[in-house]
Amino acid sequence: MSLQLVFKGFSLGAVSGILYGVAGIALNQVTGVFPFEMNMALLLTTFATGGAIFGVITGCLMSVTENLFLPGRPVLKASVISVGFWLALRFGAALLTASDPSRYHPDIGQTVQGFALSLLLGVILGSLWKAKALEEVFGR
Amino acid sequence: MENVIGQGKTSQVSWFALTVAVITLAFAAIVVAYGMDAIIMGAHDVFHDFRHAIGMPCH
Repeated sequence: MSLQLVFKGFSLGAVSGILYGVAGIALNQVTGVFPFEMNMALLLTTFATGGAIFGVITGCLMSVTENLFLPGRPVLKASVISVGFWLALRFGAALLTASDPSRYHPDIGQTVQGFALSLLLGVILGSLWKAKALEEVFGR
Repeated sequence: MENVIGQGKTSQVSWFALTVAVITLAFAAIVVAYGMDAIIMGAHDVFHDFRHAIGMPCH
């Protein structure tokens, strides 16, 4: 595995994850599915951090699976990876809900929003992945 | 400044190191997504709004 490809996955994943976090704040403000309890500065910090973690994971998986599936379709591939990771987490959350429904209380609106955001993360990462302007930095 | 990254003159990263990194990040994502205070104190409160926004269940 080339360092160049790993660096691409980490970097683009982090950037797209931060954008995903900011988009999450904006989308939630529009939909209103959850009333925020923090001020904007804390929201930006936590959403950017959380989003970056998710983004880097997706970016790394993009690097690892470079030639394994959907090699010429980065947007679709990143979306599949991002949504797949979110579904895995959501499945685990469903198990927690089954074991303790009062502690882990699900919400349909928030679930749909989360799915949409995971799709958005994939689109952002895939778009950055195939961007011609970044080929000089990361190579093809 | 010479673009070393883009020229392909780079070393290889071992699969083991990459696997460890991805697993570590996945563990961090799980702690954040489920608000596991038992693992990292304060993870529940710090990422509470983020967790709700991405659709993870919470009380």
